[in-house]
Amino acid sequence: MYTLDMLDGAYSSPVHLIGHSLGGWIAAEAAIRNTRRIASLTLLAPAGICVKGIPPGDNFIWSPEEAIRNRYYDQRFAEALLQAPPPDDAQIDIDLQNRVAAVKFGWEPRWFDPALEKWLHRIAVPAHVVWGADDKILPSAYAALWGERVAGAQISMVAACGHSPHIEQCDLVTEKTVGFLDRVRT
Amino acid sequence: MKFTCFHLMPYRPLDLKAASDYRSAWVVLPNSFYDPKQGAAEYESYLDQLSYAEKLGFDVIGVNEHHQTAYGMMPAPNLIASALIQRTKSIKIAILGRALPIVGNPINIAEEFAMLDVLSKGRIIAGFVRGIGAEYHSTGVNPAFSHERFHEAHDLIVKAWTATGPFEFEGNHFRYRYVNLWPRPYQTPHPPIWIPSMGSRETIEWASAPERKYPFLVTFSSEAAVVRYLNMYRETAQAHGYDASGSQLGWAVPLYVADTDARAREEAKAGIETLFNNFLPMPWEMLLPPGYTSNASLKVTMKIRTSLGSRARNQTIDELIANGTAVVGSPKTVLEKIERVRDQTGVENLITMLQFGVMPDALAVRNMELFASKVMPKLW
Repeated sequence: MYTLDMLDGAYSSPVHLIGHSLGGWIAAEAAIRNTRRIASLTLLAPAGICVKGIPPGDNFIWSPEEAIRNRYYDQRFAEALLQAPPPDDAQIDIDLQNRVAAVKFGWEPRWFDPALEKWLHRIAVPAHVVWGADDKILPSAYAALWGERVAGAQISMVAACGHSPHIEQCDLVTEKTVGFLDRVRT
Repeated sequence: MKFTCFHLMPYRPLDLKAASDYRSAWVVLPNSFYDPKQGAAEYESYLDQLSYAEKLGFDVIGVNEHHQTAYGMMPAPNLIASALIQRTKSIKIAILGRALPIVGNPINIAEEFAMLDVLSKGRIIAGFVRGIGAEYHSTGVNPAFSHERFHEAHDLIVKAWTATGPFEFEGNHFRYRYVNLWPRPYQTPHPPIWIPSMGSRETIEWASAPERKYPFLVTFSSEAAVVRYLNMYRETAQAHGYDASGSQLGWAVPLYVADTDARAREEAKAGIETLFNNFLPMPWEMLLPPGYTSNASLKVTMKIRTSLGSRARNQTIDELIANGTAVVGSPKTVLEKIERVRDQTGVENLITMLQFGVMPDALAVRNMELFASKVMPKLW
């Protein structure tokens, strides 16, 4: 609801909404309620629904290093983050706050809202779901369920890619996103 | 001083070497490591030890709750308390404690404590805790609401024990149209409530508030930390406008007595080192999931609690003795160490853990006997 209010307040015409992971979940929650200010949805490895028998990775029990490594298929991205200088005190506070927020939303049930899936049919704007085929946090098998529930959704499976397709396969994902948005506009 | 004979009931037959391949003895250690036949023998030994505490003159027997771990075999401590009621006559039985936030319906806890209190004719002490971080992984309960659920469950349980039912309870996490406890507790107004804690300012602030004055038991801490936390309680009580009594302060400590310091160290070594290096360790992600403590507390804890949160470094008995996390020695040495903490804090509840880690029955029982005969009388 906050997102819808924000869109109402900030824009006079519909926008193309893009969300990644928890952000994709928030975008979907907004879109099932009201698409007055939403022209299209681009969801990158969105949380929010679950497929029974295929649990998400337990990111809350991973060590900081595991959490970084499990985010990427190409470990060079992980190495770069692991070799970055340690965060300062202010950044630690921000990270801790972010983790508490993630737990509030995602701990139980793990990374989904039991009421979301049954309303996904209400999303009447064009939707594009992008998923890294090797996502260790939210399994790429979830993409098919998004495709079934959101009418006409375009599914882009990105090979050799983990949970952050916009980072790990930046050029390809940009191309696909721009292509989708161009088609929506015409 | 008052003395509690406290037990964790560790699973001693654990294959320590094979178990060390897992990141912790909590949450992820497969239960194929548990053999029910050996587990049955463990329960028998431990119940014998705890009921023997009554004959030795202890004031209280203490049991506790932990889930899905080889560290302690009492996921339902009230069942053990019930068995102990049948094996003892007059000793108090403390459940230290029930983890309130991780239970779906707190009325069940109120009911069970009331049953135990009536069954024992008023011998129950109720401990309330939030459960260790790992238990939020094992139960799925959201740690971000741990504090809220604890306080709400506490309010509900105390009201269920004291108010005439049926009444309606409207919380954010728990809502009931009818709360009407049958049976009611034996003790008036209700069983004493103790608060065991690893120590946090929030807990001390809450426990010491004048409307509660709950005894605060500090656990698994160095002597310096024990002194600091117990005095923090005293200072907080003063800020609330009263002087805390020594009976509001408790110190829970692994303790071992033998005729000489050298022998005590030798006999306690395997038990204490397996407790701290095999049964207790867990990574920070298990110990302190986000939201379980305030972020300020979290940062402080990560600095102080070197004994927790990591498998990186094994601790030796000498280190644990030196920093006072364990009290080990001859009766004279042990007495001096206890007196030193008592003199600095006025603590009047000593919660002794006299069996720990892989310590075998014979040593545990002799430890209990020596402590009860050579140390306890000097502190009465």
